[in-house]
Amino acid sequence: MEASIVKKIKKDNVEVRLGPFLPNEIFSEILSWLPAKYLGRCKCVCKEWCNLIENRSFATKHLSRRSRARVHLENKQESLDVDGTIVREKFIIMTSRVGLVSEKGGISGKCRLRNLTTQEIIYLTDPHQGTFKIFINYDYYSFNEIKLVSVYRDENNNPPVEGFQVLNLDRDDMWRPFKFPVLENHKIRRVIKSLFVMRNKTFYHVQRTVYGSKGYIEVNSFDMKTECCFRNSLPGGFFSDQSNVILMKWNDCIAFGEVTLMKRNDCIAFGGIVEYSLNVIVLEDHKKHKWSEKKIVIPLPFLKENPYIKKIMRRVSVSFKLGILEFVSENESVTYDTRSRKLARIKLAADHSAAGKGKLRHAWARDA
Amino acid sequence: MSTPSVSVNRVLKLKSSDGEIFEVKQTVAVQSGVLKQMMEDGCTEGEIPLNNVDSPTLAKIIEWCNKHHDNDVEGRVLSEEREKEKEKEKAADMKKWESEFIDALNRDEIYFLLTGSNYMDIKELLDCAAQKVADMVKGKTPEAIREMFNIQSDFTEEEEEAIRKENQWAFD
Repeated sequence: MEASIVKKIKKDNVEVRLGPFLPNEIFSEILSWLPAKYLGRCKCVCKEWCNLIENRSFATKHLSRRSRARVHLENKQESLDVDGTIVREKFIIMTSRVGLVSEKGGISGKCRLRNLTTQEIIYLTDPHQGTFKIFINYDYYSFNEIKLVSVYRDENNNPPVEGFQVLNLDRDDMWRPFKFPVLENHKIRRVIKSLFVMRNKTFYHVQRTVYGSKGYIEVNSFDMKTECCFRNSLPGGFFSDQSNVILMKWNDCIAFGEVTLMKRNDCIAFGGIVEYSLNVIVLEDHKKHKWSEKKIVIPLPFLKENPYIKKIMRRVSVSFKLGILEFVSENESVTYDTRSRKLARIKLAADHSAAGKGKLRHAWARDA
Repeated sequence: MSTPSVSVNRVLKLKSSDGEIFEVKQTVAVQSGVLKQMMEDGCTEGEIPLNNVDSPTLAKIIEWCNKHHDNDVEGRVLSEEREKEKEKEKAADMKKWESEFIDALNRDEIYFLLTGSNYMDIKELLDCAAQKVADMVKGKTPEAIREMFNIQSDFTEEEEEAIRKENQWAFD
């Protein structure tokens, strides 16, 4: 903290106390008491605030405030009648979106939506019993319509079948089943991992597949408004091995990236400086199958001194927004401003063990 | 509240950034995480310099701590049956006192209180002051918030339009 905070100046011979400069840790304290609605406006104040509010540690703090403001309301525990006995049931947060979270009961498997600001709870009709995640799409342009996507894995089949269902909260009584188009050569290509992501009114289903010894990336997407499916494949030639690329959030799109070591030829006089960089291909328009034309190269000079970031990178959530790159792992968040080249590390609160809280922003991280 | 190393009658001498000395009972000072740690480490001899807290702010902080300390001591004298009932009353009284305490301050004074309580690690005061400022932020436009904290926007025009569009739901 700055020592000059309480500096006094003389003005017209009267001592005037200058208002202190408030550091981000104090802004984070202040903003954590605001309902989600006002946070939306605060994100428009400046970049630092925007990043602060989107940070997972902030989400955790904000959640804890809301629950403390209503001490009498058991937050994620509810009573449940099982054959005449009352048991406490824990609700685990699956995903979140602008102040709404989707939760699933640990015992009953009941799915519900909770408004973090009002604590209002809406119990949903049961989706497929293999449902493990419900994404929320909240379209504020169409009368605040809320559409949900539930993703399930049916283990009764071998191999297990994955699929998704859609529910329009205002119009549908039942979940409507959808299927992604089957891989053309699905018999030869083996799916090794599926990732699901909701981004800018689009639901993405990303599959890592293997054919022979080579890995491929297939992207199925579902436009939440028109309910149309699209299919894209990560073009070859950009990455040496597609099975190693990282899934990223890139502004309003999704992207794939790979960290490589690059020899800077312009520095050959000094023996050639080797620098880490993140090479990114963005799926700019999934409907038009438009990928970024060239690889976007982001130098990561901080990786040399902080090799641990590279180590955690594959297990963390990576996003890029407004020129700021963010890596979020279980216990810390690293942001890198690509313009000012400033690196900031934030240790995440150790007390986010309370069920589900830590999963808020982490739903993505665990997948990616 | 008291720890073994804290005696009731001993006082700490706190020195504000502008050189004023304040005497505070140890039993009151434990509310500050920083002072509590110093007491446990046994390094509270002489004046303790608080370089980030000026005297008007430190006076307010001590007023807060004294009040909360009084409340604790009184609470313990009561019999068990009446304790619950009485505690509710106490909590309501304290809430009232806290809001009056904070409402009497102007914006800059609250900002100083925020940095001071954060520096001295007094969680309850920090929460109280932060909530007060949060209430002041409620309903304000981004422009008004910038003005309130003297923040310059660093968005380009396009970025600002994009971020506003994304957060349109918050403006309805």
